Amino acid sequence: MLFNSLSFLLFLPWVYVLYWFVFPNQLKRQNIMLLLASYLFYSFWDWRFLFLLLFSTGLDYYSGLFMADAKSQVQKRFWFWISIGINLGFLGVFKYYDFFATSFAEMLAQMGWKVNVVLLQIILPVGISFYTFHGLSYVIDIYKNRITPERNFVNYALFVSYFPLLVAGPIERATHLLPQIKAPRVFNFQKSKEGIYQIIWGFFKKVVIADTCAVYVNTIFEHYDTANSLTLLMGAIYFAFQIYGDFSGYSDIALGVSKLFGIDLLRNFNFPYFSRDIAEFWRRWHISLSSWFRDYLYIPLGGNQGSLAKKIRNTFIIFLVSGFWHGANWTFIVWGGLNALYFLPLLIRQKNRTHLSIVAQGRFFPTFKELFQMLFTFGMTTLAWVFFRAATVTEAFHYLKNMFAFSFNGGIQYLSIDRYSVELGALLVVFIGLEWYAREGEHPIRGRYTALKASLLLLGVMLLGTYSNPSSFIYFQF
Amino acid sequence: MMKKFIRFCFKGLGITVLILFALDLLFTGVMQEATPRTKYQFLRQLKNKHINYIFIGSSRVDNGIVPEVIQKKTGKSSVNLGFQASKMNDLYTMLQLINAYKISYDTLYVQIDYNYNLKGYSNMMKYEIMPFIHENAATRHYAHTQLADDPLLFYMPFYRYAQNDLKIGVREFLMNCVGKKTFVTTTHGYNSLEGSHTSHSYRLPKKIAPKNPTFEAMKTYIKTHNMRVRFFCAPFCLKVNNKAYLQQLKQRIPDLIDFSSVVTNDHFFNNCAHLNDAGANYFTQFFVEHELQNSSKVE
Repeated sequence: MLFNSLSFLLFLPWVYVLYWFVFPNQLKRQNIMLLLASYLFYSFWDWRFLFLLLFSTGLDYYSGLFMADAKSQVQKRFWFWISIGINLGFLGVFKYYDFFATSFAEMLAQMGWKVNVVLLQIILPVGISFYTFHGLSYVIDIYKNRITPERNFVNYALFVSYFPLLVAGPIERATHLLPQIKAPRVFNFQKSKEGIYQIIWGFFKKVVIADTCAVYVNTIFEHYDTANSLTLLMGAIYFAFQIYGDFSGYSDIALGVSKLFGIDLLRNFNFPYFSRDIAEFWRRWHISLSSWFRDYLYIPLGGNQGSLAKKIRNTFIIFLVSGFWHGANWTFIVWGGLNALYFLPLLIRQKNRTHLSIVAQGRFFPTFKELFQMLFTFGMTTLAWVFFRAATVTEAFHYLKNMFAFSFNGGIQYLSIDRYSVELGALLVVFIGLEWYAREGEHPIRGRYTALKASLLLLGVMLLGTYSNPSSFIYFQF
Repeated sequence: MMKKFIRFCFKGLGITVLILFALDLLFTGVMQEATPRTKYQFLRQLKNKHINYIFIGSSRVDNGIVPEVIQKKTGKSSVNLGFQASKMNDLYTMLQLINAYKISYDTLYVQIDYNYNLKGYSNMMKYEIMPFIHENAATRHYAHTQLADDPLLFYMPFYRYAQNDLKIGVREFLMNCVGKKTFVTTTHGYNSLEGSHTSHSYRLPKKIAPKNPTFEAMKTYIKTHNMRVRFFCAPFCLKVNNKAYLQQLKQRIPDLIDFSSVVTNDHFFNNCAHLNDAGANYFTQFFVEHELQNSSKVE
């Protein structure tokens, strides 16, 4: 079920009414109801994969219990590795098997050996990367004695499968979400109102910004071999906004929906395109994933401790793994590697924690230096996004080669798209303005005249949204 | 607290509905009043007018009949109401619309060829008719048959504009507001094609469909409403395959005027089924000499 679908529009009020009106002040029933609603939400996509979700949930739940009740460290370690192994095994089979098999066959073919590999060609269960990471963090935290296991299955299952975050995050931590699931929720008008505003803002980002950019991005990336440099540059910029609008829009809707049920989810985006360097960008982009890798991979590897070589190794590992997490394709690995390269100068000069505050805080305009830094960082990330979007690494290189050929004949080619042309540029400028205005909070519907601002955004959603080419959320494929 | 939130939600819902109604009214109002940009708007503008010759059909009419030539040669008025990818259902709708808008005429020419075998509707016509689906019985009938899969298009305000935003969304609305013109008004509906790409032949159906119920309904409608209609087949290039289909069509519709092979020069075709601008001018002239002037002599 998509957030931007009619079925969700009907689903949400029903769940809401049951939650607050049929089972008010009945925590246990509210949680059971939310869990059933989450499974219903998931089964709208493909009910067969619900069994995989249930198995994964059961595995981590019981592994947690067995680890906590283990009589020895060996026993504890056994259950820990069972859980890690099966979780990563599932991820490996469903998400990466075909990639490894074809890559291996290609490698052998280059050495002169022809091998026919058996491909599974299984559809990727939606949300598998997200709920697997939920489970992994839970099991690791128990193993490291950071938390005690949750003994109530419903509570744990809800932590893994809570519908607003089930298919595309944010990737929650047991330390943050489980206490909220276990505590009685009291209706809070301000929080609910805030949730509605955040949902509106999320929809604006998704249907107005992301889906409109997508119309162009799809066409330009399909015709990258014939398009001129300016068009390709615009295609890359539009994709930067598409992926941001799409994923952060989804996160805003998820956070907003969750607020309606009195539950706060981890913030996933914090105006990443106003970052002054790549380190700041990664503190503001997909925060729940970045912090997951920081806590469960980077720090255990030694983090920024030890020799420079070790630090560089750790940085590359975290970015490459993060890239690979996104999908079984070399494009994502190159994208991760490129970001690691961007990060390197900051790491060597120990400048990776320079920009921890909000840019131009308390001021309306940034300084020229800040503006330059932001544009430079945006430019670098936009270049990397080309690898993220392209179907193959070769295609990405050709795209960039044509983009830097500096052929501007014919201006921006819109390739017969009968839609906005100049208007899209204007729309993005307005969007950047709104984001700039909002950067000290979570979204622009704040301060005075919130009702008016919300109504205007609602008008924007209806008037400017793309509905004839509705697209799924990009991160559903991860 | 909860009551307050429910009030807040209903207020939000109310604002949403209001916005939808307001946008729907605004878009429809502007598209009704603006200088025609689409074929359908052009058709509406002919309301209560008398036109000597009206041509309806698919792109083979849209790109093939030049009203200016008719005006020049005969001094009589004509309009080209051909719609891209029109099927028999669209032609039937057009007949109903001509009556609904009380457009009077001397002769109505209807293009029939392989479209006799085609089912369904033209997307182009669907987009263009969308703003006016509540306008009269013919448009409402069209909406209830063609848009039956998605009744919200008919009942939910503004939904039709949002769902077809590429064609009748905010951009088209703004173009209507500023009165940006298209070919429609200056050429009386004729849409010219340039160039000649006749290297590929065109394949007509091998066999004529056993029966076309829409065509039969159309014939009954023509008879009931006493409409003066003549069926004709527009030119194909000489390379067209399965010419026997046209013979079968003539047997099915004995009064069909066959112009399928009157244009013999490949340079007059944009592609095998569509004339280019030079070809359209040539064919229209031929049409005037062999059909319009002949039929007026008969009269």
